[in-house]
Amino acid sequence: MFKINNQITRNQYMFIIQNSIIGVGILSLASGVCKVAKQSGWISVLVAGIYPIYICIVAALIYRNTNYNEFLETNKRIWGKFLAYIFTIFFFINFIFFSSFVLSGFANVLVFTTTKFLSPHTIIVITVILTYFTINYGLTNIGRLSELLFYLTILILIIPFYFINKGHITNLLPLFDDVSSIFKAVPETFFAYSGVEISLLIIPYVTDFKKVLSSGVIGSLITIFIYTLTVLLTINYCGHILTSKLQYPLLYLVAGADLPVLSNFEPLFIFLWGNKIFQTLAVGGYGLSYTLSKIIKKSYNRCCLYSCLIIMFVSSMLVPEHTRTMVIDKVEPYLVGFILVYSTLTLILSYFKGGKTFEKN
Amino acid sequence: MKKISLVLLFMLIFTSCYGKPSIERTSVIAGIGHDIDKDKTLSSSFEFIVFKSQNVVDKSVVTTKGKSIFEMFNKRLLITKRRHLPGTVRTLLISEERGKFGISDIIDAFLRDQERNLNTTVAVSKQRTEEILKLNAKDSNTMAEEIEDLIKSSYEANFTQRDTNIKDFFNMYYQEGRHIMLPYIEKYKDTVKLSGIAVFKKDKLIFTIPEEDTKYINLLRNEKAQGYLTFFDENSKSIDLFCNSRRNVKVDINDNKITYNIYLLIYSSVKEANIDDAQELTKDKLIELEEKYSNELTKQLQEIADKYQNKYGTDIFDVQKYAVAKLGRDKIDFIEENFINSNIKISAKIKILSPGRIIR
Amino acid sequence: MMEKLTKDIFSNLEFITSTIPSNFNFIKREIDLNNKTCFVLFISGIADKNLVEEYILKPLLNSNIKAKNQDIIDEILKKHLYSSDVSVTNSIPDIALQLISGKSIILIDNCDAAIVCNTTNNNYRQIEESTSEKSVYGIRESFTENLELNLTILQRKVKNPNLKLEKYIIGEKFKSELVLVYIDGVIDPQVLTNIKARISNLKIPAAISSGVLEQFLDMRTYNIFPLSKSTERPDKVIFDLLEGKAAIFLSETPSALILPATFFEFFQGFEDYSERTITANFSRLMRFIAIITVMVLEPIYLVLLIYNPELFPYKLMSVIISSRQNIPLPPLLEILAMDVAVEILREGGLRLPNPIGTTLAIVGGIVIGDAATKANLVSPATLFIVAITVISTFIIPNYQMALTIRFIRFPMIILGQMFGFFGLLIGFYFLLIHLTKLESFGIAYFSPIVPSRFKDLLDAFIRAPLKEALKEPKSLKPSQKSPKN
Repeated sequence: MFKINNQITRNQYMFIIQNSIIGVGILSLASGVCKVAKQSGWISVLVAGIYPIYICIVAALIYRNTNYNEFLETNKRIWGKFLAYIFTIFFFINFIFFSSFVLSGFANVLVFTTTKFLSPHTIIVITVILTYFTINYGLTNIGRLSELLFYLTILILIIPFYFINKGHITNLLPLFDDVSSIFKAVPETFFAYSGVEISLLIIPYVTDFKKVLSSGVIGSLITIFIYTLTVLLTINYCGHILTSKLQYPLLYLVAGADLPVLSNFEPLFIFLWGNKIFQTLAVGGYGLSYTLSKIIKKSYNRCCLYSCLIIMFVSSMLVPEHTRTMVIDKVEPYLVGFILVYSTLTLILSYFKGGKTFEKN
Repeated sequence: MKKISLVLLFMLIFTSCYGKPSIERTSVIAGIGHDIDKDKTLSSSFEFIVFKSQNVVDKSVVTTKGKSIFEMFNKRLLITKRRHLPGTVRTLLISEERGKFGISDIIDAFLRDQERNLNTTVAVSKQRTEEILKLNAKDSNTMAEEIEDLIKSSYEANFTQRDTNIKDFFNMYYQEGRHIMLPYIEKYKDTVKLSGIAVFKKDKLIFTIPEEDTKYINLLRNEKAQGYLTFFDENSKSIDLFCNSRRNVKVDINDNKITYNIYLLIYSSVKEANIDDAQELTKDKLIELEEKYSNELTKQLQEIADKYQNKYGTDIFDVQKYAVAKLGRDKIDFIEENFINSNIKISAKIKILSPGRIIR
Repeated sequence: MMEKLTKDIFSNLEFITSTIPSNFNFIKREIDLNNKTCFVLFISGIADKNLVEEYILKPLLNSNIKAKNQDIIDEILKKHLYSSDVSVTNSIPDIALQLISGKSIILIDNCDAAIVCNTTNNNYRQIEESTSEKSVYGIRESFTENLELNLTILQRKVKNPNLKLEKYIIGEKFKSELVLVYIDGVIDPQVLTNIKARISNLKIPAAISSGVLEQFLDMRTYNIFPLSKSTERPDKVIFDLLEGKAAIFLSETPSALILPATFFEFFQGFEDYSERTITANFSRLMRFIAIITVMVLEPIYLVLLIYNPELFPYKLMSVIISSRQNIPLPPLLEILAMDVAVEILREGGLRLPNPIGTTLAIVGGIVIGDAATKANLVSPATLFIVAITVISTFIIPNYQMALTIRFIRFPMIILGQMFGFFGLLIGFYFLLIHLTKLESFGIAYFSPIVPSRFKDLLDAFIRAPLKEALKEPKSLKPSQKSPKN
């Protein structure tokens, strides 16, 4: 029934990378880093930005060395058939976690703020249906949506900008109180920066391979900029103690904006941000369906249905926010660690095994 | 088509009536007042708007007592006839007695409850809040709105602090080296007036600054403020200046002794000059006046600063945060303890920008 | 069933008669040409009797034909017929088709071919000023039901040798002529191929109007957005042809279909280009505000009333609550009832004669609104919101798009009632999915925003100075890859 089209342009790749990183993390990021790094939390966010940039560069290099074959083919060439399947399954699990974290977080935030009357499970079910519609048409449609929603990102930034001279610089000083704590806070950002792994899957579908590397880096840089800026503005206004006490510091900031027309800009923010979340979910869902279809060798469309059901089921279990936070804290460092190790090793091996042309099917 | 109908079916299954009372059964809470009774039971008063019929508006106050904030809330729901929206509160009023007892529960309730508005005005009252909220409002529907308007309009003069919102209140509570300082109002004839500043240490009110010093404390404390300054000459004739002040703080540390340098730059325009030597306000004359009054003001402010520093040993000038920013967050205890021994140096500089419509 | 003419004139006549219904106005005029039986066939009414008499009967009856057998056709064509538009055919279905489109057929004994002579009745409505698409400036002509006249208007204005007119015959139950017009070299070859393929594969029972044709051209039955726009005004057609689009003219319909169409051009008034840049931008901005108002104002108002009243500013909240005292209807029904009443009035106004229609819409609106508030059925605030929405719908320049936008607010209201702000979010995102997925003959519907063509954005939300705005849009040329993508 649905035609799948997977080709994306270079710009769309950039926007997908940018969108896939921004997610629920942006709301709670400041809280986690301030708990450890105090007023220098924003520096931790900046430092942790190395992770997405690194993944983007590595992904681009791996595919350059192996002539842009599909993910599974590339893996088979580098790791052999058995390990390639193991890694695909690992990515499958990674995207299950990623999508479920995002979805359950989204449901929690909505129930926490504007739609207190809905049960989080209702929100999860409806969002999953929307995600299904988005991913069913393939990567091209996701790319187009990302491109469109990128412009909304700019709007998201406007409300925090209202606070740019409302805070006090003393809240940010001294810049480097305790350098080691800045690095200790880096793991707190892993969840916020996860999602960039999609670049390991989608690069072969970019129509123009020439500047894939720089597009990925630019996409990551935009996100890093947004993250750092929001965390910086939050700390500048609230101070690090209050920031670390709040569950969603950015929402607190938005709710505090005293502007005419609406008494509270939280719903407007949720509205803009919710679109980004749908997009992030679509990227996660795409990664999930893509790896699933490679593993069980079924058509992509059918796998979309399966993966949506999986996301729905897993995220329903993560519903109260503290459960979700606990699971994230436990799981995320391993996922990130594994992806770092995997990508580094693959990069090194790709220099030896790549190079020869391999027929693309 | 099948898919669409499936989606619709899902939606119908997952939604139903949520049992929310409609908006016309809602009442708008304008103000909340917190008091304490003699036997340490809490008491809170709610002022809300009553809608009788279309375009007929009245107000009403309900007071309940209890051991915790939400016990009082429960009791209130037994009395009131409509749903209450906590998100609309204009003014949070805390009585002086309640402030002395401690307000950490109020801070927590207002910060934790997602439904609360972050733009509520906070003030401390001398009398019981119940008494104040029950007054008849003159130019608004409710007392709470009047108190809010009173505080907002006071920014124009007396250098009154602008950080009276509840989010500023949270900031003052949670940021290191700062103290909660709130406008202090009292009943005046049949209405209320602004009469000073209430100073908290942690969550407890420790003292209030009387009306006559308020202007100068505000001038020292606020980064940006505006108000009128009056200087008298020997013949008790006066000159009035309308001033916009800018504050700049520098912290020096010498052998564990902290010196706070407060630089005040005040841009002013002459509003009234009934002094003998003001025959013609030439540039030279203005410079002379600037210098004279700068020195006078510096002296005056230094006296007040020394007085409050020695009397209470608490930073009411909002300068400790600069020391924290300079020394590091872990030195906060040291800074707090040594405030009484530290130096506060004030230098005020008045610049007269305009002599007004008449020049001679 | 015979397909070709034979030498036997009577059997030919019989077959032709059998293929077309033997109506009373099917005229078989027998004449004698130098002792040969000859029939002039035409359908009176569609064919102009005067023309038949003037161009065919008069010269033939006064002639002295010498040629024999097949040469006789040649001689008649060359020496006797006064008509300029003649042809020869021997296929019976073709003859039948020509007859019902107003041509006259000359059958001659002993000839297995027939002469087709154009005697079509050209008595159509005169060129008038368009009533549905008025403009302050711009030309006053509008298309009529006469296909040839329409093409004439167009060709007279576009003096470009590359203007191509291609004719297709469509329709299964009955045939209609369809003319595809485009400027060769300006239109993108890929788009052109798409359009031609779609027209050739068109399975349409009968092309009654351009609206019907438009729906058959779009294969998605449940798509609510128009993928091509129809217009009555030649200047709009010319403008779009110059941008690299094609126009489809259908016989017997007074409007042209322009395709492909993108989402944003439905909100660009044609007047935007005749006004000064700044004022044109202002009206374009107003239009976009109006569109957003139509889609979301009522749903947001509803959500605020039911679920999030704390979001009203404090002063507004007391006004709204006090205005809603003693209103028996819940907000949803209140809004829907007002909306339905207004839509009915609008539809009623459309059917009634023009002056009465407008009066009905205005007076009806005022009277019903006033009565409803006086009777305490509807709160004044709701009435105000509904009125703003309805007025805003009139600002959308394109009628089809206005209908679509107006429709969208109803699902939005329902979603808002069910899920609050989350419902609006779902609705909005679903629209986005749908719009980005849509393609109109190979052009992304949401271009130039997706895929981004930054140069083209100068004529999407804003109208840049004409020098920029009138450049051929890149987004209409998918086969030319821009260097950036």
